[in-house]
Amino acid sequence: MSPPATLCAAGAVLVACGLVGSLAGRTRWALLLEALGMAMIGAAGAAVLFGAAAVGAQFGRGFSPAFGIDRLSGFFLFILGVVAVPALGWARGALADTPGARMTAGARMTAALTGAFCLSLVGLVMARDVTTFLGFWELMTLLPAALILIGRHDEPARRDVFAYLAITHLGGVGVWVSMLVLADHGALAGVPLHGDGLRGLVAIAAIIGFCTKAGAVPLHSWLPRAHPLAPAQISGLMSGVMIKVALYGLIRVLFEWDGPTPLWVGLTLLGLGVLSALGGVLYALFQNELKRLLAFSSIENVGIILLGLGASLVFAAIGRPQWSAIAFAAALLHVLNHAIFKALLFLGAGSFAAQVGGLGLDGLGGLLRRMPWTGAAFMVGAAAIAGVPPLNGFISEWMILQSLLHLSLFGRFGVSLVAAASAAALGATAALAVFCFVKVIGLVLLGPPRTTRADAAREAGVGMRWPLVLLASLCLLLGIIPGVLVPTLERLHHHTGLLSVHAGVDLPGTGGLPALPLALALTLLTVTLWRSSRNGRAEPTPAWTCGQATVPALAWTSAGFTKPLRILLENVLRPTRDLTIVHSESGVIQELRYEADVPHLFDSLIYEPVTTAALRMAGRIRRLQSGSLRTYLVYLLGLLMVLLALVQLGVLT
Amino acid sequence: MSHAVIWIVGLSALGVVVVRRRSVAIALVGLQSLVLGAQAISQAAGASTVLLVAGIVLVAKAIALPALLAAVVSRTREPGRMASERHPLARLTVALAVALAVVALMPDIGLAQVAVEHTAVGLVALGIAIAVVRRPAVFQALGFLVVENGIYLAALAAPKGFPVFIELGLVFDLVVVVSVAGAFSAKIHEEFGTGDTSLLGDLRD
Amino acid sequence: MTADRAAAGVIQVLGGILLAPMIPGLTQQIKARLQGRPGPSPLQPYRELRRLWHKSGVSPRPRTVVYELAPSLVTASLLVALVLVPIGARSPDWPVGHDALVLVGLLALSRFAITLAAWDTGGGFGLMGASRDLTFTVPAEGVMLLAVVLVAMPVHSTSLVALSLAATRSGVWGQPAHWAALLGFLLVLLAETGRQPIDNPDTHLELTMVHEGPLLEYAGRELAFLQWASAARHWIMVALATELFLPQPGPFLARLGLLTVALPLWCVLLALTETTQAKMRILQVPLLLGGGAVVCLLGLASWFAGGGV
Repeated sequence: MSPPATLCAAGAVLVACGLVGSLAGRTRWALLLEALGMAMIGAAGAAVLFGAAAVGAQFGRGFSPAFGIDRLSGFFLFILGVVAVPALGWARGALADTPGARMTAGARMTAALTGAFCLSLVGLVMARDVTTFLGFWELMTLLPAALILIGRHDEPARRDVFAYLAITHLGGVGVWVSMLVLADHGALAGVPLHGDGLRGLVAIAAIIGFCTKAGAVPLHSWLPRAHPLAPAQISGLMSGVMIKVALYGLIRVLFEWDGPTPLWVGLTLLGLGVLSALGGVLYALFQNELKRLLAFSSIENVGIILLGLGASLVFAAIGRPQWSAIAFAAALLHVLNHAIFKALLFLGAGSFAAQVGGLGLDGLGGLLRRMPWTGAAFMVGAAAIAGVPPLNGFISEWMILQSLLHLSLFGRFGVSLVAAASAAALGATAALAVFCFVKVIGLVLLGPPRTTRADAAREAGVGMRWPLVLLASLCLLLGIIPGVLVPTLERLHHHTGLLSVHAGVDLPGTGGLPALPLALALTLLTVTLWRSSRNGRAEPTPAWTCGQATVPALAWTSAGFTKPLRILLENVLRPTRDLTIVHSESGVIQELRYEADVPHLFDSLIYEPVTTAALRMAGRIRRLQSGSLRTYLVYLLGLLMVLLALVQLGVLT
Repeated sequence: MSHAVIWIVGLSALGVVVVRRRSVAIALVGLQSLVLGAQAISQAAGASTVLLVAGIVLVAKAIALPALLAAVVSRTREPGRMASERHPLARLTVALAVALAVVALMPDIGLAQVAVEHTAVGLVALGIAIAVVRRPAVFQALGFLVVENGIYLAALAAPKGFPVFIELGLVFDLVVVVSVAGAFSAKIHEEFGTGDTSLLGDLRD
Repeated sequence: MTADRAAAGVIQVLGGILLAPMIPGLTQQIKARLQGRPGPSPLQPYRELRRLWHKSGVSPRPRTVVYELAPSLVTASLLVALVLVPIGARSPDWPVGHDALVLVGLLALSRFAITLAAWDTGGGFGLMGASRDLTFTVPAEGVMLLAVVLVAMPVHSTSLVALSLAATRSGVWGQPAHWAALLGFLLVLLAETGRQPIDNPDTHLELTMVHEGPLLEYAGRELAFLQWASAARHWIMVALATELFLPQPGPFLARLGLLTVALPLWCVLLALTETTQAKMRILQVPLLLGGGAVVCLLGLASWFAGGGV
């Protein structure tokens, strides 16, 4: 076996050992083993990505289980390693911080299932035949549900898990249909599909199936319900890797097995991308709970990635292979970037929750001073996801924006108009993301603490700190030298890449993005200016705020900060407001209660009517169920006769 | 295959549709199985494995299962005529119509004799029809047996016959199904005082 | 040629740093004249910067490192942005490139830093301004991108140098698309620099502040940095409007001459808008910018209808 293969197999064995070990009760050692194993698997993936020969089987015709790593799989294994190692390390640190939790059955099962979840993701990415792929696909869907239910038994949680399973399984039909049709025609082994109808069917089924799992609007309703429920490390894995692995499937189908796709497929992806990016970030902005907000922001980022992939497909369809490869690389870079900062943010949220007890945005505050390491790392992640230079989020968003922009320069009128509108939407999304994460940083890290528990928060232990610091430094690193990775990602596209390895990203037809000098200039100038700005300070005083007294009741809330936008979009978002007089004495009002909410319209306008209609139909169909054996036999006979009649008529052959 | 065998098999199935007494119906099915078993043994003369299998099938279907069902029937007395039963002539018409329709619609399955092919298909259809038109629980098991006899008949007439494993498997299935049906029939009788399956419709949620 | 580029580089840096406060100063002066007041001298911003430079900072409670670093970060990002904008379509090979979208990113970074500083002190007026500023940015960035698409159409590039060179081609002037882009860009300019009718730079009423709001808690050199940054934002936007949208002669010196004439002209234009237009209701602003987006999309349609250049 080649070194990557050995490394990968050894890693899988280690994770399996950890899985068994955690069941046996050695939870902390088990998590360590799992983290080591995932590190080895990630390293194997990176080795293949950066030029080692492909490992194991190729995609083939058969149905017998086969595994292998090619460069695309290697990239996703690398992402998995980058996220799983800190996530497992954080889980280990969290166990160390709460001494009682180590031996509980819940902790043991969580550790074991986390290992199993990681292995199912590895299996899916490495699957080289349709049965293995679909098997691991289902496993990947089911294991998080089990993980959530270990920690949460209450009725709302069970309902949300049910919604998760129902939506992803219904959407999963698309995955099955597309994969089975492709396997049946031998397309996995490289035989091109024949017939526009069939190819269109495969493309539509794949888009529905994989985009449901990736959480693209309007198929996303499960995501903001399920992701916040899970323990922090699982949320990080789900948002960071699981939804990306769904995009991996989409890439395989649309770029390899069903390609080259017609123009409308790319345009569909662009449409889904705009919807997801804008919808995701808008709803994220109005959330009052940190993990739910982060889940909505994952939808936004899936939208951004879909914009990149869509642009790549459209470029290919209009005969611009070079830009197609650039857009593809941009989308993949954003996949990696989002995995890193979203895992960082979820783990950070977990650390805050462990200290403060809850994650209501209006109950935190002032945590940067109380938890400097965690807070600083969290701030780096939030800045990166907001897409400000010189962090990694800016690089990939810049590349995707450039792709859309050049798409509108090269395309004909229809394509150009769609691309320009998408670019404008992505610009607005970026601005909204800045808005959203300014709010998050402000409410969580800055200002005065808003509750006594937030006031009493202490820095988390080293075990929970190093994963955050590691991920934050990756955000910085990829923001400063993205150019070492981009040409490699570009070569994952069929078009052989033309970009050369620099620290920055130098695309044709742009002014270039020299990330390293940009970051250096910004840092040096900031430090110099900061040093020269110190001209003595007055004694500490309360903030001036134009002479107002700073009382906690006047502190700005999440709802207050976003109010201008909420009023502006009133017709779209339909927020609810409820003002009740709680307490009045002899006509003088003493206490008011004000409740405002931005309801998730997709639930009430799309999902509820659909479920209601489905239940009504089911009620009608239920009348067929008489409970009498003879009636069923009559159905059987009827069906038999109808089928036979159809055969006689020559309809079925 | 002689015409006598075909006629006996077909008529006995129609008899099951018509007769009132459960014990008579069981006897008819037993007779059907016996005739088919005898035919199988006569065809298998010489080949010892096939002979052994045919013997096992004969014993199971013609003796063991009817005996089991007869035991169930003798332990459960019906309180007179079932109110919900249709008129025998109506049952016969429906069953015949179903069987003829299926025979007419069925494409050629490639047996040596056309008459045997039609009878086999007709038996399968009649078996299902028996389960549909008769109310007492035992008849559902009998219908199943008739279906199996139809398939067995087809197997006998098939140019190469069925592999022995499939025949053995079928018999095993049959024993399990009929035993369960018999047990349930007794249980239903215990609960309701009658084997009328139309009462079971009220049990659904 | 190299001399041209070196001269452009000098103007980018020194001109940007030293002349930037002149733009808001001149605008205020012209506006005052238009309104029949003597008004402050155009040099007033320099005097204020000098005054602030000699004062000490304040230390509000609570504050973190964010409050202390924000003014420097805002200023640093604008300093880098200064050298991205070519002068006379020339720019020395600064290592930071000259891409239009990087410029947008740097402006976003400065906004990010200053709004975070508003959260750090937690003052209500600062946050009110920050929240409005961020709200306006949402449509403004969309319009900005559409304007970039339109000006990039003839050259297929987002490099500011290439875009600026394209402005010398005569064919561009017959294109309605170019004018649509100019209109969109001017709306963005108003939003970005915080002029009327979007924001009132003269206001002393905290409740109506947008850009000034987050500056309320600062004093001394930090405030001086922030005020310079505001002036630099004026400089960048006005220079871009000249470089990308005005009919340009070819030679470098002629272009420099045009720039010297155009800068005061833009100030006159700003002063005229401020005199004739009252400040809009805050919720009308995004509609105005949305109108800019529609104009840009129409411009795109007209580009294809005209068959391009």
